[in-house]
Amino acid sequence: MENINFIYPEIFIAISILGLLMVGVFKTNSFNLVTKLTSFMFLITIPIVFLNSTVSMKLFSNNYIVDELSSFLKILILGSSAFALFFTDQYIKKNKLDKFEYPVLITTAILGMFVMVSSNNLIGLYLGIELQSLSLYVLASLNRDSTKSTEAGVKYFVLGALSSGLLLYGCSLVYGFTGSTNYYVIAENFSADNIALLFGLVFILIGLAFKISAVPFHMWTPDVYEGAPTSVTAFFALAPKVAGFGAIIRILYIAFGNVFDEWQSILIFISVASMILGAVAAIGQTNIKRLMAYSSISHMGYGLAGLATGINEGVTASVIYIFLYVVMNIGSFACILIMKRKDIYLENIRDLSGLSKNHPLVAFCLTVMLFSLAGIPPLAGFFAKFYIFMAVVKADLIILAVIGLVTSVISAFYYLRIIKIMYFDPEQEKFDPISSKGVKISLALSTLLILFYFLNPSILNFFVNLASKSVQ
Amino acid sequence: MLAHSIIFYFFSFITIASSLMVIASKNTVHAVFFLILDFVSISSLFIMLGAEFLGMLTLIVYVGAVAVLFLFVVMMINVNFSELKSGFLEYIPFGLLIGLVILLELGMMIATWKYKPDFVVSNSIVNKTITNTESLGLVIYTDYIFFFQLSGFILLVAMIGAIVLTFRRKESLRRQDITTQVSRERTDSVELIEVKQSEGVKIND
Amino acid sequence: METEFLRDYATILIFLFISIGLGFGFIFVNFLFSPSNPDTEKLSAYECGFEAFSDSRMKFDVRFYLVAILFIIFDLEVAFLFPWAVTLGQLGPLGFWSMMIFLTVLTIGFIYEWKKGALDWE
Repeated sequence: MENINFIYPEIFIAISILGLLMVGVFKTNSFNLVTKLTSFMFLITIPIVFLNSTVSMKLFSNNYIVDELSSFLKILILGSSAFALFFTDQYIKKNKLDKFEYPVLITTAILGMFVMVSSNNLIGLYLGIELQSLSLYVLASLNRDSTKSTEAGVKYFVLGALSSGLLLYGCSLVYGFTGSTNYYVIAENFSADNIALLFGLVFILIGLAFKISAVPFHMWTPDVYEGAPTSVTAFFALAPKVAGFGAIIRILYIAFGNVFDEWQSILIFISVASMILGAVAAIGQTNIKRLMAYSSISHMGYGLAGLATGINEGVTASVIYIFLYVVMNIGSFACILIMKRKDIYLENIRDLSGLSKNHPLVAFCLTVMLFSLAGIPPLAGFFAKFYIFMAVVKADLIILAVIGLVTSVISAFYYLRIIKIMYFDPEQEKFDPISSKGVKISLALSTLLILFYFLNPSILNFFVNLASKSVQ
Repeated sequence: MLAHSIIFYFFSFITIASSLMVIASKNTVHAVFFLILDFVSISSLFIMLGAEFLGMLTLIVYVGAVAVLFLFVVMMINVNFSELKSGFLEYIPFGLLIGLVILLELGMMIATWKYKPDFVVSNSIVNKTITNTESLGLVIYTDYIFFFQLSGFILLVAMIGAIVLTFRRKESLRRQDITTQVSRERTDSVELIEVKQSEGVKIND
Repeated sequence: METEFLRDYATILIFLFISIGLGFGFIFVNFLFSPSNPDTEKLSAYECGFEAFSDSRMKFDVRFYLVAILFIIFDLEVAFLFPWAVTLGQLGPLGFWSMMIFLTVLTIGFIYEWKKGALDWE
C-alpha cells in the first residue's frame, strides 16, 4: 500500500462520485451545480494524473499499472469528457435531460475507463469495461420518454451484454489454460500451439472489438448514435474509444505479446473490414449522427491498422491517430450542436444546405473538420493517416496500406458531399444564434489545433512516443 | 466413485433438460420456473466440484433474487406469444448454424485439451484444509482490494441506473412529510375574517 | 476423497431424493386414480357467463421491478460479507477497512435512493 499515491486520480474520482451524488440528491434542481463541480473536478484531476505521468509503476502485485501510456490516455479521456460535458449544457437543458445523475454517470464511466487503460489483469479489465458500459447504457436511454433513445439503450445493452459474455468466455479460457489472470503470467504461459488459448484470445478480441465498434461487431453503433441524445452521442464518440484502445494495446502487447503472429491476422481483418464498411456504408446516410457513427467505425479501422503492425511506430501512430480523432470529433459534434432552428435540434444533413452564407465561420470550421477527417493535407487528419501508413508500410503490410488509401479516398467522397451541400446548395433559414459558450470555445480550439498542427507536430509526437514506449 | 458419477450425471441431466425447457416452454412463467430448476441444479454441480461457496451464492443470488426479478419482468411486459413466435421459424436455420459453429469450437477445444502441467495440482481448492469461502476471503479484501472496491462502484452505478431509468415521482400525489406536518401551527391554516354584510369573502389560495 | 465428500452431503442427498420421489409419486398416483373427463369448457375462464374479455394476466407496475433490482444489489453486498466474516481474524486492519469502504460506497447509494424517494410506495 506504500505506493498508493500513484492511484490518487482514481481515488479522487471515486470520492468525487460519492460527493457529487450526495450534493445532487440533497439540493433541489442541482443539475447546474453538479455539472459545474464535475467539470471543476475534471480540471483538478488532469494535473493529478500529470504528476505521475513520467513514472512506470506496478501496483497491487502487478495487477495495475501506471505508466506514460496510461497517463497520456487518462488525460485524453478526462479532457475529451470535459469537452463533452462543456459544450452540451444547452442541449441537455433544452431536451429536459438535466438530471444531476447525468454528470455523475459520466464520472463513473470515466472511472471505468481509467481502470481499462491501467489494468494489467483480466479481472480488472472486465470490471473496468462493466463500470464504463453500465454507465453508458443508462446514458444512452436517458431520454426515456423518447422511443428512439430507449431503443438505443436496449440495443446497446443487449449487444453489450453479449460482448461482455464473449469476453468473459475468452477470459475464462485464458485463465484456465495459463493459470492466472495477470497479463505478465499469461504472457509467460501462453503457448501458441494450444488451440483453446487461441480461442480465448479470439473471444477476448471480439469482446473488445464490440466496445470500440469495429466491424464485424459494429451493428449497434449507427442505431445507438442516432437514438441517444446528441450530447450522449458526442461522449460515446470520444472517451470510450480512447479507453477501448488503451485496453486493446495493453492486452495485445503485454499479455499476448509473444504470440503476435496469431493475432496480427485477426487485427488486419478487423481493420480492413472497418475501413471498408465505414467508407461504403456512410455514403447513403442522411442523418448526420449516423454518418458520424460510420465515420467513427472507419477511423477505428485506421487506428487498429497501426496496432496490427506490432512495431513501436505502429503503436505511436495509433495513439496519435486516436488523439487527433478525438479532437476532430469534438469539433464535428460542436457543429452538430449548432444545428438548431426555432429551439429544435436538427440532425439531417440537408439542414446544412447553404450554411456558408448564413454562418460563414461555422461553415469554415466544419469544413476544416471534414477535410481533416477525410485526411486532406495540411490538416491534422492527414498527418494522423500518414503516420499510420508509414508504420504499416514499414511492417511490410503493403496491401493493408493500399486498402487504407483506397478507403480514405472513398470516404473523402461523403465528407466532400457535406461541404458541397454547405457551400453550393440554396440557403435555408438561419440557425438560431449560438448562445452556448462551450460550443464556441470547443469549436474554436479544435479548429485551431487541426489547422495549425502541421506547424509543429513534434510536440504531440514527443509525448506519444514517450507513452507508446512503455508497452514495448 | 460410482455414486459420485451417478449423482453428477443426475444433476447434469436436470441442468441440460431444464435449460432446454427454458427455451422450449410456451408459457414464459413456466420458462422462469425451469430457469430456477436450472440454477438449483447448477448450484449442486458447483458443490460437487468442491466450490461450495459459489454453489450457495448461486442459490442466494440467482434463485433468491434474479429469478424473482425475472418473474417480475415477465409479468410486467405482458408478451404476446403468437406475435413473438411468428418470425421464429425464419431464424431457426441461422440460429442452428451459430450453435453448430460454437459446438464445433467446443469440440476442437476438448479434443486438444491440455492443461499447464502443474495447474491442477497447484490450483485445486478441493484438497486444501481451509474451506473455499475462507480461501476467497483471504485474497479478495487484501490482494484484490482495488478490484473489490471497483465492484462496489459497479453496484452503485447499477443502483443509480435503475433509479434513473425506472423511477418516476408522481407529483399529483400528496405525500406524508412528518416535519412539516408536526410543525404546523394553527395560524398556518386558519384565519379569522370579519365578514362584512352583503360583500362576501374573497378566498385567495 | 469423493466418498468422504458424499458422506458429508448424504443427509441433503437423501432429503433431495425423498422429496423428488414424493413429488413425482403424488403426481403419478393422482394421475392413476383420479377421475378424468376432460372437456375444453372446464379449462376456460369463467366470467359471469360471458366470454373472457381479455387475458387474465395483468401488467405489473414498474416499481416492483425497481424494488427487486435494489434487492439484488444489496443481496450481492451481503454475498461479499460472508467470506469477509469468515476470515476477519486473519485479514488485519487493511481487510477490515476495505470492507468498511465498500459498505460506505453502498451506504451512499442507499442514502441516494432514500432521498430520491425510490423506496416510498405512495
